[in-house]
Amino acid sequence: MFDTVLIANRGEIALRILRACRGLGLRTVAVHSEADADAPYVAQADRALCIGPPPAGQSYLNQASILFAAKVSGAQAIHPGYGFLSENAGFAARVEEAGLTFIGPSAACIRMMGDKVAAKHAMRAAGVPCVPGPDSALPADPAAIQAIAAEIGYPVIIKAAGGGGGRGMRVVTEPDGLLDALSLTREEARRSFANPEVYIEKFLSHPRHVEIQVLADSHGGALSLGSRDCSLQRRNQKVIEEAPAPGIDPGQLADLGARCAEACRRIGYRGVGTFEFLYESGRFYFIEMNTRLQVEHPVTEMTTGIDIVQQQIRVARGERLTLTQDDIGCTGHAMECRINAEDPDSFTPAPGRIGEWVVPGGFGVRVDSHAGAGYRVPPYYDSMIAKLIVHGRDRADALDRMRLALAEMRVGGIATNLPLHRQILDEPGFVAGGFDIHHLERWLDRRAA
Amino acid sequence: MDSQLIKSLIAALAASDLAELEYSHNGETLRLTKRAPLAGSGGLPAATQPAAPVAPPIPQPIASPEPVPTDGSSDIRSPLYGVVHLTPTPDAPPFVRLGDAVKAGQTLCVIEAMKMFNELRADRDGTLRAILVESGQEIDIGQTLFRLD
Repeated sequence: MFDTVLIANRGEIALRILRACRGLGLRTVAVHSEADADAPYVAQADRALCIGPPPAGQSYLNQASILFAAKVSGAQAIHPGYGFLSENAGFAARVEEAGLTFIGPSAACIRMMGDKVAAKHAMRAAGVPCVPGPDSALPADPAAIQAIAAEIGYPVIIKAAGGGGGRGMRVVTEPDGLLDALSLTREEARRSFANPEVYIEKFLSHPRHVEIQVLADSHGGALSLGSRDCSLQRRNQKVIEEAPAPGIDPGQLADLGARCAEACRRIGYRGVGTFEFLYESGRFYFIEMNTRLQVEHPVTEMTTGIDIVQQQIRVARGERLTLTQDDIGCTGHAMECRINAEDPDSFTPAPGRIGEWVVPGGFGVRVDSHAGAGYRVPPYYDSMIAKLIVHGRDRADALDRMRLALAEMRVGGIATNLPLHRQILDEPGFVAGGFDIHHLERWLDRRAA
Repeated sequence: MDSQLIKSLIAALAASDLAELEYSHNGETLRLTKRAPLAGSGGLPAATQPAAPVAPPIPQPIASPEPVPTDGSSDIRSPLYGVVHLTPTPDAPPFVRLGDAVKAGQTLCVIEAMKMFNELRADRDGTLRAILVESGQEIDIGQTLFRLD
């Protein structure tokens, strides 16, 4: 059983994990690149080790360096956070081979879910609803492919088995374009994902993005922690998330959650994870599973009252879940705005030194951030500098609270997307809720016109 | 020069340690200067001070160790804080070499900021007289990267 955790990540999530470890009485080792050497959260860890130069490829993605840091610091477990190495099956395997605990699922589970065709096959077998289309890679014969597409019905979407997160996919609206799109996607998949396998699905034109948070132990216990709606996106990047997904029958969500928990038991899943679905015309369609902690996990923490990161570490320690599905409630409504260092109109990244830093507070307001006055946002990593999270008794209350919090928050010295969030919180479509994944981009187009 | 560009330049200047920023494009020149806080005023927080565009009536001497070129050469400065890449991919040949004849609009380098890659292009024809940075180096906003003859 481990008592020292190496945090193989940076920024707000490194601090979030550090706090969870502290809450459990565990020691922490922060590893950091040269660019993050002076970050305040690094100093909060029991020990800090530099693992390389600023570019992520030479530091946060440098497996040998991270494993060596674990060895010299005596850490017996590695928490990968999100992004970087969190969904790298090879890294998870190396951690386990080194006799350490990877705080996440087994390498085999990560590998299976990383292969979107294998994942779809497993989910269908477990009774999780999937997008219409075969759960196998496409054959080579063009006539056979045309027949499959015709059976699904156009429009269809061709996806790379190794893709995900919006990458490696192409929509085809009529039979004429199918074979060209197929060869393009295959070539892209070969180059980007080192896996030329592609598959085909029905294309949904105006879906919502709804996901289910799960938590599973290594003794066959698995729970659904409820739904989130992350439909407010720009270029496949989530901007605002909320829990629960508004306007969907709680019974239908509970049934979906139960199916996800059952799927976890069937595949021997351990840790936290997220089943992502498209939701259109009252039905759910599985698209992929994220085998890691997610950026937006706090909204579920607010509605369930469960510290998801602490639970994740507990099950990695081999503990049995003490909660049952009946203990999991959903109280009120929570919402999260991702505060990014970027121009609110052009979306140009805006790294640099933060001057004024005023974070909102009060009842039902939470800010997860590693930044502060005088902190220099480095240009090497992603642009998120804070997550502003609110909890209200219902969605309208949460909206009011978020408006007040956004009005209170001030970040100087660099451009941030705070003005954009303030505008969105007053946009009638957003206020109504239940919009599709193209809503924000349509609104941005109108705003620009 | 569109207002979008001007706004982003103002934000860029505000985010930097620089006192002023000059930007020229297609014969138009915009100079932004940061107003120094009033002594003994207790001071507004730096970030709330408007980094207002000010066009000084007479050109002010630039407090820089590098003299302003008077021989028709021009400095090409970074519009943002980031990481400069002189080659399109790590193994590829550089965009430009010393002594190259450069055309207006030609890509000179790529500046990476937070996973976004921004091409920096020459604003006029000329001969590349100096490359003042190394690939992979962190560069500040307003830092001189190239000199064109």
